[in-house]
Amino acid sequence: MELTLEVEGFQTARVVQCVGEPHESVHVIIRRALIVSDLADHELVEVIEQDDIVVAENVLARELPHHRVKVHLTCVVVHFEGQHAEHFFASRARWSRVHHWACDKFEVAKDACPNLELYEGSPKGPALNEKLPVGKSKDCLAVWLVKPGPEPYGRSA
Amino acid sequence: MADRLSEDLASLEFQRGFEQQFWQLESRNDHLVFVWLIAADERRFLAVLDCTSYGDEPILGRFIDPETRQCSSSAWPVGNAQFEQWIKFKGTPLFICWDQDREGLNHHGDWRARQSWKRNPNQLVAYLDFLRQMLHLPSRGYERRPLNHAA
Repeated sequence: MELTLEVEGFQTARVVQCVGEPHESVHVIIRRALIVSDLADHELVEVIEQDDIVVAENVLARELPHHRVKVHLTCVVVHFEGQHAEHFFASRARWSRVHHWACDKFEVAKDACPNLELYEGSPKGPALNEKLPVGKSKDCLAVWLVKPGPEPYGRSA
Repeated sequence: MADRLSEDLASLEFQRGFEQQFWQLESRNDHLVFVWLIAADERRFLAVLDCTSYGDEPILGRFIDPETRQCSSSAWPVGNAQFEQWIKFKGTPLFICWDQDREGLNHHGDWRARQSWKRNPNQLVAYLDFLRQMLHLPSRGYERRPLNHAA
């Protein structure tokens, strides 16, 4: 059976036709379509039905009354040491996911990655709390992955 | 003359830190500002920032017990030897050894000439952001504990 997936988060919504079996979970069908279309990081995507009803993980395709669902993705462009890369994330994905994705993307050493921080809007912008969700945005969010500078301290009290 | 401390407390930068759940203003009593700092393990520490001569002089920061309002060692975040380079959570006095802290400058007279606390437009947010990094960046050495860990 076919589901119509409307992907919001781009300048214009994209429509993806998804094919699946009636006994498959709607979420499984949608995530497969997102992977195949290489649209986004598909984890944690929230599937919404008409009237903004969230489709639960265990809903099967045959149980969906309208066969039309939507997901919201948020565009994030990460800047790191003169490079930048753009990716779409589920709007409820945490910033920690963006951090890890960026470290992989820019091949940051595993021990160095945790000591970088995400700053909003510029390399000196406010820090982002990585426990919080990326959220929805019509525009692409620009963030910088930065190593905070050293802070002076005294060696003896 | 406008109260610069009030302006900085009302600033977008301060509000942003609150929205990001890094800190929360508890109260203000004239030059004393009481702020909750939220650490990476979601533990909360109450800091009192003495902002006497704000702008001209560095802030004096200490952590206090939220019940007794006393500066006791149990109210301070703890960490490894690296952490202890900045956050003096043992001994007497308990203080923050940083070139933008007034007590830090009392212990390191050579720091005063740097006037580091004047280099950021928002002195208060700069101070809070320093504490935020101390409680969030792994390299700073803060000891993360589960919330139900007995003190």
